[in-house]
Order: sequence, then C-alpha cells, then structure tokens
Amino acid sequence: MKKRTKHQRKQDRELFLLCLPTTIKTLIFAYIPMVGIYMAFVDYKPSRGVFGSEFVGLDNFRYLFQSIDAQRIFSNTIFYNVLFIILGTIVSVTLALLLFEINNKVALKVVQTSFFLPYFISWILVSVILQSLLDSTGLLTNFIYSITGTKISFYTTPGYWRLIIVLVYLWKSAGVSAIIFYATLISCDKSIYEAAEIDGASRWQKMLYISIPYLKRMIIITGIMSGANILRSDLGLFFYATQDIANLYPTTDVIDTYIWRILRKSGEFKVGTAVGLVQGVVGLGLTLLANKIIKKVEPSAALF
Amino acid sequence: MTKIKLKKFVGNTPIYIPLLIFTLFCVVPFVVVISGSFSDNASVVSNGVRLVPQVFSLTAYKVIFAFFSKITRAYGVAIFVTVIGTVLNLVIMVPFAFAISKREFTFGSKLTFLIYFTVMFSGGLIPTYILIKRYLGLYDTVWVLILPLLASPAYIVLLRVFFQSVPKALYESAAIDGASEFQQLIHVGIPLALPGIAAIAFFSMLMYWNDPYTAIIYIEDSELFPIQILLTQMTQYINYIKSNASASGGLISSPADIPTTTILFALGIVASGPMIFVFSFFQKYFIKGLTAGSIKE
Repeated sequence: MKKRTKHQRKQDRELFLLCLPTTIKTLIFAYIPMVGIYMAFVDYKPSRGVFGSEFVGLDNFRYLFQSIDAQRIFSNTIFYNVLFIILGTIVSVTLALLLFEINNKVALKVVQTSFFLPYFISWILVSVILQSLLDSTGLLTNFIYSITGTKISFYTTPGYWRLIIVLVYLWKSAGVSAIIFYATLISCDKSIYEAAEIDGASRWQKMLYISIPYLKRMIIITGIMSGANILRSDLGLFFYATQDIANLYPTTDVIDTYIWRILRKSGEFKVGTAVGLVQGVVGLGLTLLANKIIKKVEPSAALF
Repeated sequence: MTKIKLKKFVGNTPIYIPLLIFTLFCVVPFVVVISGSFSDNASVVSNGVRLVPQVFSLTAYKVIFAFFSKITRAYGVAIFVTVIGTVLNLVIMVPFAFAISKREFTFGSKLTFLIYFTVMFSGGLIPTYILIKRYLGLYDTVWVLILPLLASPAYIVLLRVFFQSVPKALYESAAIDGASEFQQLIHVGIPLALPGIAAIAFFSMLMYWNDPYTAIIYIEDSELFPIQILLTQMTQYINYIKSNASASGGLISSPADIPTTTILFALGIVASGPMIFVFSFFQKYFIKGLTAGSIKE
C-alpha cells in the first residue's frame, strides 16, 4: 500500500468525521446486542444478568428443537418465503411487462399510482381492511354466502390463511416491485426494439426475447437476496394481519411471531435469543453463499 | 380506419385486462374503507360494507371527534417522531453516504462493510430489548421511537448510489478552490443528490409514521402512544366490546353511541391519510428513489 500523503490524511480525517454519527449509532444499536447472543448459551435469570447466569451450552437449542413449536415455525417460515419469492417474481415481472406495453400516459399514471397505494398503508390498517372483508358480516363472507349459501368463518379456520397471507403479501408488495421492474425496462435501449420490429418480431416475441432477458439480472439478484432471508418474515403480515389469533397458528405462526410472543408474553428470553441466533447464522451463511452464486452467474451484480 | 383501431383495441385486451384486475385488487380495499367510514353502523353490521355507503352517516367521525384530545395527542407524538426522526436520519446518513461514495476515502470500504454486515447478521430482537431497557435508559421515552430506527443500511446504500452519480470533476474543482470535505458535501454533493435525498426523506417518514412495533415493545405511558398504536388499542378494545356483546347473546348490547365497525374505518383513514397526502408531493422523487437501487453501479 502506498504511503498516504499529507493531503490524503487530512481528507481521510474529514471524511471519517462525517461518518462518525452513523458509525456510533450502528455500534451501539447493532453491534452491542451481538454480545447479548451469549444469552442463548446460558440459563438466563434477569436478577443475575446475562453474564452472571449459568452457562448451559446448547441446552436452549435442544429445548427449542424438541418443542412442538419448532417444526411449525420453521416449516411455515420457509413455506411462505419460497411461495413469496416464486409468486412475487412471477406476478410483478408479468405486471411490469404489461405496463411496458401501455402507451397511454393517463392510463399509465392511474395504474402506477394504484399500484403504490397498498405500500403506504400501515399493517394496522391492513388488519382493519381484512376484518371488514372476512369477519362474519364481511364483504367477502357475505358475497360467498350469497352465492353458495354457506357462511365461511375465516377467523377460526387456519386452512384459508395460507391463501389469504399470500394474497395480502402480493397486494402489499407486488405493485411496487412491478414498478421497479418497469423502471428498469424503460432504461433498456429502445433501438433494440425498433430493430426487432423491422425484422417483424411480434409483441410477444419482443417480450420473450428482449424484455425478459433484459430483466434477468435483476430477477436473479432480488430472488437470491430474498432467498438469503428465508428464515425472516414481516411481523406486520404475520402478527397484525392475522390479528395474532391462536386458532390460526398452525398456518400463521412463523419464527418472528414466535420471538415476538416470547418478548411480550412468555418471557423465555434465552430460547428467543437462541432462535434469533439460528436466524442470524442462517441469514449470514445464505447471504455469503448467495453472493458466491451471483458472482458466478452475473459477476457484475455481486454485492462484495 | 376504424377497423384498424378496433383491431388494435381488441389486440390490447390481453394487456389491459390483467392490469385492470390488479389495479382493482389494489384500489377496492381503499374504497371499502372510505365507504365504510361514511356508512351508518347498523347497516354495515347487518349487511356488511358496500362500495358506496348504503346509508350515509358521519357518526364514526363524530365519535372520533369526541376522543379529540387523545387523538391530537397521538398525532402530536407521531408527527414529532416522524419529523425529528427524519431530520436526524438525514443529518447522520447523508454525510456518511457521501463519505463512503468517495473512492479516495481509505476507510470507505471498511465502514461500508460495518454497516452492511448488520443486514446479514444481528443480535436479534431480545438482546436489543435488554440493551435498550436495562442499559440505555430509553424505555418509555419518546427517543426510543426515534433512535433505534436511525441510519438504516438499506437507505444508506441507496443514498450512496445517488452520490456516486455526482461527477467526480465537480468535487475536484471545489477541492482546488480550497473547499473542505464538509464544504464539498454542502455545496456540491447535496444539491446534486437532492432528488435522491428527497426520496430517502419520504421513505424515512413512511417508516416512522407506520412503525407498528417499537411503541408496542418499549412504550407503556399512553401519553406517548403514536397514532398507529392508538389505532391498535382502539381496534382491540372495540373487538373486545363486540365479542362480549355477541357472547352474551345480545344481553349486553354494544354501547349504542359507539359505532363499533365504522369507527375502525374512520380511524384507519385518520391514521393513514397524512401519508397519502405527503405522497402526492413526493411521488416523483419516490419513483426515482425506488429505481435507484436498480441502476448499475
């Protein structure tokens, strides 16, 4: 490494000062809690503190993986994330391709703004909306009743929630990701399309052979990055939208809601920390793996 | 001529129909909420919400107005947290993103990794909770709603992309004129990255305004509840009244002066309205901000 000049040292000092507040905030709120991970390996007693409690090795993990909850929360979390990645990508890419075909400016604006709307809504309002559709006098419940003559009780039947959760997920996020994909498409070189038109390519051929390959890089990156978060879920979707109804846990309980419940109700902090650690380690491992894969497939898109 | 137009129109239906369906899918729930909030409670309870109010009524809003002091208080907390949080967020993130966007900065990649690592790995919710409650003394203060959410890595990465698009020559010529790094940030970096900063400001406002978790974990004092939490509490309270009313077989009727169903919609409008309003100002920047991540670095 070259020796830094006097000018460079001054510049480094100034730039480092600009970085200081964010660095301190991150060290306090993100790095100090990492020390607390030690709690996953002790029999935590609040009165004795994290480091005064007895070291028990992997007991907390054993307890966790032997509990009936473990299988449920891990399988639900993975199940939904896999579905979200597949369906989310298909729906938002399709919508983006269709948006790209619209030339009418007014229509485009209206559609874009509508796609954004769900993104601005807090999860609490989402739960109110769902209730108005699904409870005993809900719009949807009544509609189904008027057609089939049966009244479905959504809030006591876990089976329906697999579909409901996926639909709510798509409602909240597919519109925005469609706009992101669409914005990428716009940046594609127009002359390629013109050349294809001259060669007599149909609209569908252009989609298939120009647009989709153009989006490939982004699809791969977003897909792999969400894959790295396979053990994490949006608490808003699984806690608020389902209203935390215990009857529905077989299909709605995920790792994050489990930790959330420990924090707010049962107080088995050591087990909660242990689950959190599993999430963290898997997340770290998968991100590193994802980066390796991206480097092979699409080197320019690698994260680091 | 008309034949060609007709053919074109028919050819476009495979494009328009799916888009129309998804647009309706996005919009209809909002229509339901707005219509519900202006409906008469009794008609909603017996027939459900319609897309247009079956019996028009302002009762829900009138009842909310009766809780005026509680609601203005919760609004006040939410506005304080959103405004102060967003200002602080920009004040600390913008200089950081500027610094790490400079290739000459010796510690740039190390600091970037320091931030990015927290995305991949974290201590988890429970150690953070113990830190904040037992060691930092932030429990039950308004600052706990602001500080832990500052400097989110995703926003820093986006901001960095914006600063990277500033032509290097502009910084260099400022440096030749004797501008310090801080002066370069103020006079060159910020003006040129302004659309990106505006987008991040909007993201940040949205994050603080809609944050449903922090207050639930760390706030006990009801005076410090932001509007979203007040909405949660009222929702739970109203659902409690409703379920007790039906469990008793109608013996305990829900208090006649509380429109149990429509008030939820009205509260939803009250809690979400401001962000939709702010969005109309920021829409242009917001789209830029969303697309920034996809720009090749």
